[in-house]
Amino acid sequence: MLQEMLAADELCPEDQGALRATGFLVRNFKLLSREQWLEDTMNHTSRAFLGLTMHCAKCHNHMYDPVTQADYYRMRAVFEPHNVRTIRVPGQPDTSKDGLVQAFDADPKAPTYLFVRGDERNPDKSRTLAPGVPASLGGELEVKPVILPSQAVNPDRREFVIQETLKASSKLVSDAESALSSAEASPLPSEKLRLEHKLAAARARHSALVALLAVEAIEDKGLKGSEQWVRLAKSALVEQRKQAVLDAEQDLEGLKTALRTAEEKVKVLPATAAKAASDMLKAEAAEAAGKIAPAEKLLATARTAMTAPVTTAYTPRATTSYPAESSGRRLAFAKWLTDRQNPLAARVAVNHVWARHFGQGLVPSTSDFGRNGQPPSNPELLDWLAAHFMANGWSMKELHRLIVTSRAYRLSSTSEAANAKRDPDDVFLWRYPSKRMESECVRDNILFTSGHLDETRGGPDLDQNLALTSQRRSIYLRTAAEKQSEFIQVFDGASVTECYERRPTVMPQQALALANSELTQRESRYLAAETTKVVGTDNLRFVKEAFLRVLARPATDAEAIACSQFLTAAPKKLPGIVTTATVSDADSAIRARQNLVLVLFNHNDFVTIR
Amino acid sequence: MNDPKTNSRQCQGVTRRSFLADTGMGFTGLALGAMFSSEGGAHADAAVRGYERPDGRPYSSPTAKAVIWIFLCGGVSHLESFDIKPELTKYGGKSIEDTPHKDVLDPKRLNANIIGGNPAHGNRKTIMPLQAGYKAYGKSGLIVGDWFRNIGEHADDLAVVRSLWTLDNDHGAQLTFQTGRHVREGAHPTLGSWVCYGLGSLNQNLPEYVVLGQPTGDCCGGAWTHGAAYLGPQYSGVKLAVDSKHPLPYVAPPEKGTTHEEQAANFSLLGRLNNLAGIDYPDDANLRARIKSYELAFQMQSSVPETLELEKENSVTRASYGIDRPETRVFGEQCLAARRLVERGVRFIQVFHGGGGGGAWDAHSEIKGNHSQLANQVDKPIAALLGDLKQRGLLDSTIVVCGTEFGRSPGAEGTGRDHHPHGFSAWLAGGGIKGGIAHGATDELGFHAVENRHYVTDIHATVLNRLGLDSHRLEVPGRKRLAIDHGSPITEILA
Repeated sequence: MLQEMLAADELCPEDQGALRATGFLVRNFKLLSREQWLEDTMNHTSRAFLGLTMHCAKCHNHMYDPVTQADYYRMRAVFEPHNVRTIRVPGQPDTSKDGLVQAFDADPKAPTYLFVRGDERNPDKSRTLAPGVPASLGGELEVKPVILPSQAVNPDRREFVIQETLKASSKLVSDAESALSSAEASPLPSEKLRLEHKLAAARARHSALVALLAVEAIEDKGLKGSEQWVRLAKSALVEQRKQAVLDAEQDLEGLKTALRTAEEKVKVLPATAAKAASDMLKAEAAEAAGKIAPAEKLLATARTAMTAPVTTAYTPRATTSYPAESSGRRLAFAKWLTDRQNPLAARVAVNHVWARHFGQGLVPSTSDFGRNGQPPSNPELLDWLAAHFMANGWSMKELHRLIVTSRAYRLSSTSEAANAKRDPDDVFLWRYPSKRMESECVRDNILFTSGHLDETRGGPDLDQNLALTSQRRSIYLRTAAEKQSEFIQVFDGASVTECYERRPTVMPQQALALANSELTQRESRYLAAETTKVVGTDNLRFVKEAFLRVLARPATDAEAIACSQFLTAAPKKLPGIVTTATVSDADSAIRARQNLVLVLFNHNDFVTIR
Repeated sequence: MNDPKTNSRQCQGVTRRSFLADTGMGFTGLALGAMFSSEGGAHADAAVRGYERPDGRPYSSPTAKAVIWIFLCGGVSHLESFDIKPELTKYGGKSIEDTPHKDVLDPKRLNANIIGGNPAHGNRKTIMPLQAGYKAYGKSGLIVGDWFRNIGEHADDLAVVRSLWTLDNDHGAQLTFQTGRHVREGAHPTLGSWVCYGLGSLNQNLPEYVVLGQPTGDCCGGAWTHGAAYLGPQYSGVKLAVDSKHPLPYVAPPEKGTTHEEQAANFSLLGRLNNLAGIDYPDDANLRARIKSYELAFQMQSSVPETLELEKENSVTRASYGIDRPETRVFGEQCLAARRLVERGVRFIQVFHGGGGGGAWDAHSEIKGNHSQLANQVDKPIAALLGDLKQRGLLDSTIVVCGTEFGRSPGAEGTGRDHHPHGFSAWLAGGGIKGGIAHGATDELGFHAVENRHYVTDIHATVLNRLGLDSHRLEVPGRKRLAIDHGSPITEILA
């Protein structure tokens, strides 16, 4: 996984799933500043995988710092060639709606210079720095350029793109056919003529596309220049010439129609009409008339071209192609990073996973294993976990399993006098340190509890403003600068560029979100109705069932009594009672049950993991 | 040993009974902010020997307890506001190189303090004459540009600092003014968050740190300009819209949702259940904080909208803030809301004007039109705020600060002035601040701060000093701050 995050495009360039992992690099993208972009890439790569803060070395050598300024720029050279691109995914031709954003080497030969005092205006051009890794970490990079498969070089030549392009083109033809047939009865001959031209042009365009794809297929087989290729290329040229004529005819006919229409409208304009109206029509007519001569000329050129000798000089399909070779620098770096001899990456990785389960890493400063960070509370455990992780082929799943089945993880969170005195901060994990759920889990948990969580995987991101109404999991909500869900942010959502540690807070805004948001109000009503279906009218049974469903634990006797009292004490009739499609609120007892579920969504135990 | 199967239910020092007594009933006059602890940070803090989280008490006797921090986004010309330079008119149209002041262009001086500045800005050499008139105000005779004549009327309450400098010659300096750090260094705690971290809240019904107006755009710090970074989001500013119907997210249940009476019953049951659950976890600080947070939240649902009901102010007051006029209405409402927040015990109120993008005051062209129009929006409301606070006796315990990220260049950029980080002005007024003085100076062209130079964090240190705090003693272990982050109080303007 680590290798894929840094270099999937070099490691497995045809694996669409793995390419997504390079989103790790993509998120540093800065349209306005390549400098900031690369600086962030360096910063987050070193912090995320090496637990090193390197940014000081950008400007100078630091007497206590094992990373020199030259080290910094050598590592920057690893990333210098890379850029980001968005390629098509099946089912969506418009990459602005959905697409695969990935890293790739746009300029494999991009040079890296050391910036004197870190100032990009002042590069030391006397020497180009080769890619490398900090000397103090040992090892070296073995950079081998990667020859990319044609799919990666020409993503638009992927089979599904070709099929979808053909399908779209056929659809244009059939649309034009049905438009024409439904216009057969039209009293306007000009309209019919226009549609005839449109259909002819669509057919020609489709034929040209088919011919072009045939040429591409031959080229992809490495047969460019062969006899077969020559024949297909010539036929593509012929089809393209036909298309040019029909396109030109269609344009010309359109202009003529526009001119006629405008002229006729001027004629029938009543004498009382405003001068502005007739001026506007006249201007329209003049504009169309002005374009007719050039259009006629284009058509003549296209017709003349039909008679020229047929060659193989067809116009290739308008596709974007990329360098055929990748520098291999990031792959070499990723291999160095995940080499058994690398002292840091595995330790940093297991520490991250540990921190997610225990609220705090064995090294609390998860992104800084250096002198400014904090030392590990249990170095032997960290080393053992790292070794175990590598021995199991860097399996994250196995690591999670190991941690959550450990005794430390299963300990209760209650206190114990002697231990609390000796180790008040639970550094040695004598109890499970309780923690608040991450914000995404808070939202997902509400939906999961009510039975509404939609666990569909994948797809384009969702508008962040759908957080309260969508039932999809929170990870699919858009999170970009200035585009983050309010609900997620209230519960300390992650920053856009980094998420080394979550720092959950306790704030009144969170209380308001859980008490007042449309989400909790709606889901509590629904869950109260669902629970009532199971338990009937018995209030005590309702309380017990609601505790199990919302807090995943039985109610204590005291809690059951308090809640039962709440249900029976509820006012018999309330003004302004809610009615929804699924729940009838006419009965105040139902309303009281809804409120009880809402209270449980606000319970400390609902957001706390113990 | 804690066995997973048999929960041990005792705890050092806290009995079930005392826990219930502690958390059962409302507030006990403790500083709320100091009680909310960051779940992430609390452990690490306590582990450091000798470090104690602030307890909400000032270190020295304070002269003020609240701050209104007005920030004008985009860079206000110091030259036509609070640091008038007649030499500019004298040499107008000439190149700086052709004046006796050409040494201001010495590259060493120009580059001395600018980190990663944007090379596109600077090098404006043709002197632009003053674009506004000016006059002396009050007993002090403080000179103020005509665009700010209403604020000028309060000259005897103002301490103008004319010798500020900053790090960045681009609008990232907006963040620098709030945290002291260059935008490239990311998020650091803002002054407001330090104040709340150090002192906690003065009230039980409202957030302690409130943000009004549109903050800076993401280019220039975004949410960081009112954030708390490593101090934890509970010390970050809460954005309120001056709209009593929708002042903050989820302030009221949706239409047809729970009624107020139901909610009171719900919160009462919730408090009871959380306390019952707490019996097993008597040392869980987060549970206690959550119980308290629900109490504050319940209050905020009514207190926040009530505070922002500006229509309750009489028409004379509203008119004094310019709420009856379209050009001053928006900022006037924000200034009036700031006064109402101070009255109700909000500790730190940050009011942004012209936020978003580079900032409205960024007059690269047509500075005359730009600045006269924007000054027209803020001059009257700010003057009204000073007068109103004074009249109500609140100015003695409130510090008002008015700042901007940098000044504007003495040299012309067409009809505008460029960014200018080498010398610019800000002013302070109120509790413990001397009135009617101008401290520090730029050179004759207003180019470099030359006398009593101050980096922006000296303003922070001054404010903290008046509140009875010392940023050195607020420092968080593991978060090394530099001398330049702390700054030093500007003793010459302390009353």
